[in-house]
Amino acid sequence: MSRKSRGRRGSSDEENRIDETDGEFIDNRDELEAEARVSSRDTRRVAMELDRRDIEEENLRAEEIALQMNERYGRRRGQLSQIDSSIPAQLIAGVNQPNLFVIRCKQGKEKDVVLQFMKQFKESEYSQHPIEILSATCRDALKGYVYVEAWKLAHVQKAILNMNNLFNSQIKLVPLAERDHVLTIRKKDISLKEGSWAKVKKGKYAGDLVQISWVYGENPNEVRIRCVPRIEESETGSNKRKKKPTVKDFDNGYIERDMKITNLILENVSPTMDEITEYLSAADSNSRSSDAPLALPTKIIFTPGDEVEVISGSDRGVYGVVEAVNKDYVTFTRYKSGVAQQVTFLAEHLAKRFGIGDHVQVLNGSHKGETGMIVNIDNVRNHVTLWSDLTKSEIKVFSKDLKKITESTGVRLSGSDYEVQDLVQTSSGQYGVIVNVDRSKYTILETNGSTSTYTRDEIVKKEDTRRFSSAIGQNQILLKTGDTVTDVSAEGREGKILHLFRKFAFIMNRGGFVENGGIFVSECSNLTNKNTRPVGLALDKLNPEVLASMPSQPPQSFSRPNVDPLIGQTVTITKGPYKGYLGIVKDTTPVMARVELHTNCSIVNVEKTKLLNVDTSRPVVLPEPTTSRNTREYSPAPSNYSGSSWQSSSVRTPNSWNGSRTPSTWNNPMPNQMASDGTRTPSHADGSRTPAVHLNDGSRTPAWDLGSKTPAYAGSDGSRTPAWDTGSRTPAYVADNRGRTSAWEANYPATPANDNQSFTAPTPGAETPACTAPTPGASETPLYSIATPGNMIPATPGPGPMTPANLLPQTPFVSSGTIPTGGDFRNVRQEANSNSKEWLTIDIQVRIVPDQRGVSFNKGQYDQRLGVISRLESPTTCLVNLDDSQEQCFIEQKFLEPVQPQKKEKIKMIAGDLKGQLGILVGVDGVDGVVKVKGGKDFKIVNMSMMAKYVGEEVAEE
Amino acid sequence: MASIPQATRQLRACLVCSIVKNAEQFKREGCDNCDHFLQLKNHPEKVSECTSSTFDGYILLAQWFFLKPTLLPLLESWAAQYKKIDQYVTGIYAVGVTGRIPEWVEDEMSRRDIQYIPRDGSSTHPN
Repeated sequence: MSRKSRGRRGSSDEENRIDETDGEFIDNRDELEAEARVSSRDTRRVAMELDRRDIEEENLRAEEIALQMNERYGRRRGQLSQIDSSIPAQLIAGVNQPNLFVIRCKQGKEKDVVLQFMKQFKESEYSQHPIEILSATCRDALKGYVYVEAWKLAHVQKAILNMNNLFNSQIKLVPLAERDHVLTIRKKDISLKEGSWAKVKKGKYAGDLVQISWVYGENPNEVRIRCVPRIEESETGSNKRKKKPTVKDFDNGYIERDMKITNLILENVSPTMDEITEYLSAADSNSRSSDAPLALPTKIIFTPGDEVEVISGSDRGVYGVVEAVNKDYVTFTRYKSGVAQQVTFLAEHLAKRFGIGDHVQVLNGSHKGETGMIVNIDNVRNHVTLWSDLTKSEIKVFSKDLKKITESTGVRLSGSDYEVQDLVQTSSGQYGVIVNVDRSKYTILETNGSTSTYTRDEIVKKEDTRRFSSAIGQNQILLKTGDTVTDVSAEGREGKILHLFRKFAFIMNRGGFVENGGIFVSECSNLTNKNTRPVGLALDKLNPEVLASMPSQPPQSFSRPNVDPLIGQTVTITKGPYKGYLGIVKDTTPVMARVELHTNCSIVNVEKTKLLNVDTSRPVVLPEPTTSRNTREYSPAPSNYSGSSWQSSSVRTPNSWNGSRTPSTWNNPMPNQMASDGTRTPSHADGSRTPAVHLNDGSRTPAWDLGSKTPAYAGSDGSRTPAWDTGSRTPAYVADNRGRTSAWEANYPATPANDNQSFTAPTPGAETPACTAPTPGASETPLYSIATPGNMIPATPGPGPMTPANLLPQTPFVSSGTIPTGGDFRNVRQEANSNSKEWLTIDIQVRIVPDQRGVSFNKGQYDQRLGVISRLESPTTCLVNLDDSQEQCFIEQKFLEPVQPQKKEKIKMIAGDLKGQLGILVGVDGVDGVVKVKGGKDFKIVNMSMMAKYVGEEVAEE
Repeated sequence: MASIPQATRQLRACLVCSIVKNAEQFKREGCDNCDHFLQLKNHPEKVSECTSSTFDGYILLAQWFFLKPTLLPLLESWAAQYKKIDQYVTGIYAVGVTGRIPEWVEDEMSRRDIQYIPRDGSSTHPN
């Protein structure tokens, strides 16, 4: 409100003015809020606006407010305590009130937030900058909101700066008119009438229906209740006593107890017929007429459209159709001599009105959901007998629990989520189709063909089968939900597919098959589709001679040519404007894929070569066009595509790999460097998973083009050359003639499936010279040794018996600082870089090994022998005491590798920040060791390559 | 300042001043505001009598009054006034407490000329 307008209305009533001010401010604030959403800068404007309001309100005449406040609060002042009287009343009332802000918070954390505020306040109370809030409030009923009282928005913002569970951006001012509601509580108007029903909350009688038999005084804490005694196993004595009404405690078979009101549910207790019957059954039939309690008032929930009748009071007998329900008041339209008239009554005077022959549904109780026709109405006892449509028997219910319906719902239960023919998951983990629904029992045909009965609670959820909307049937025909199919395995039963689920199809037979409501289950592979042709060539119809003329194309190559296994896979895009995006392949062409991005659900066209399968971390396709060769691995089983991503990726990988990696292309261009290549058998390349290296790493594509670009490769790829360019590197090894190339050797961990003799290498125990060959290479060219195994590891095909994690740490020939890790490569790279080549230090155990180029120390006579470094001659040479003899020898670092410590052994750090420190290896986690460094209190996680077994005398532990 | 209740322990609210604390804290420290006539300290039976475990909502009352008495007028909390807890110590209070004080407390309070404000919302508010 502007000052001008206030001046104009200066003489108006103060109360009105305040209200108007409030109202106008609210409008202002809303606008401001809308603006604040636009930009964060405007938040400041909101704050400024609030400040402006502060000033304006201060302009109100203090006396008038004081008067007002006195009226409001003055009455109780001075009555509370002695402190009270010391505060002049005008002071309190003379200023305007602080603001109440509402902040969104995580649901369920409201109380935590308030407690957090208290902690903050307590902590900052005497500090330089206490949090300037006056109160913080939460209510059980106001979920997700916390109200903070402060003078300024900035104070709130500051206070919540370091608090959890609050959504800082959503601070709003509570309008003055509304803020009372935050703190107002309304006493629940509990009707404590003798004879009314209640339920017990906890204790021995928890959940029991009880009747209030006596109310103590006007505002009682306790009432006397009458309940059916519970018989405990241990109290068999009281069991008998129950039948004796003579026992003082009991009144006609009931037990009377005093119970706190807080332990009773008094509101909306609407006992069903069953509960009341049970309650009454305890009564001694002779002493009590069972009619009386039934007529007791129970709360009836009316809904518009119900036909009601006034059952008590002077208007008894008036009836009509409910128009509106407002808490306890029901408005209904009464038709009197053709004139509609709306009347309102208290709900307790009304009852639902039914006529014999009405079709009704039961709303509550054990018969809930059943429908039936009313056959008898007992107005005295207020209950209705109806003939159930479902069970074809009479059931008795209260008229309050009935609803008139226009049609029979028969099988379907109202309020139930499941219907016949629904595919559901049960609590036992089974999947099946509901074939029959009884009142509370569901008969479910499971995938294994058996039927079981479940209750509603045992059904976990309805399965959405849209994602299984198609499957592959016999002979690779495409099956779709709704197709008419024949089950060749079961006497040619026919039917329409209801659901496809994994490899199963649930089929509805509308013919002779009556079991399970005509539904049966079959595996998709047993199904043929009569109406549609197979998607591929109908091979079974091909002339055998034609077949024989195509020997190079095995039949399987025709499998699902139209359905790219890529579809449906989750991929990341590795190149281009969408690089890094995650999405699902929706459609493909031979080169392009349409990928639905997860972020914004848009579909983009991306070249297949730029996609990386998320599950396998492999490119979905290789740069080379796929060839038709080697499609044997193409899986004809359709379900495998959805189930196993590895399989689907392997489908393509060997294809393209083999296409380019035929022995001839591999061998020819590299006569010099890879002299041993000639020994590589075609089968080796063919069956190998080696290409994984190349496949996985986009940056290494040059390597991929190895076949045609060898010279360029050798020249340009500096980092790798030393390792690769080692035709001479293992002469002994080549002489070994095991048919391995150096490249192959380097890749060994990734080729577990190979039965080559060298393949014993990765096993920890194997310490053949051949195996050690790559090690020096790794140690001298860290980059290479990191990159190669690192890249290989994620690419290791699934079937590999060894996982990277357990393979590598166990590898006996791991070398310093450059152990290939299966984990974080960047980390290793850093460690390797920071790890200078000199790792030698005294008192560590070392093993003598050939150097990187395969040259052995002293003609190999010491190879694999263990020793302890006793003295350093230079950073890279040392004196080693050999373990198993008194011999000492000077040896260069390149012929040594540190011996990896075992768990609980003493270690010495040979690299990194802790270099030279002693400690204990507490545990090994993959490539990392948990080390307790001497003198340190806590444990450190250190790469295993950065430590060596310590054999000195010094105590490594404190 | 009252001690901070632990949300995980059994929480109770004083029927007189509606301060929320753990039953244990009530037993150990008594009620921070009303102990001069309630004497809950070391009287577990009185604690269960004069406090209630059914209450609604939390109000943190941050009492600046005790910090900077000179600035009192600026530091009065509206919420505290509204709930009539403005003279109490800093602490967590309930918005509503179910239950009524026993008669002896009511007698004691009237003897000391302290008005009892029912915290269950049954008293008609000035507003």
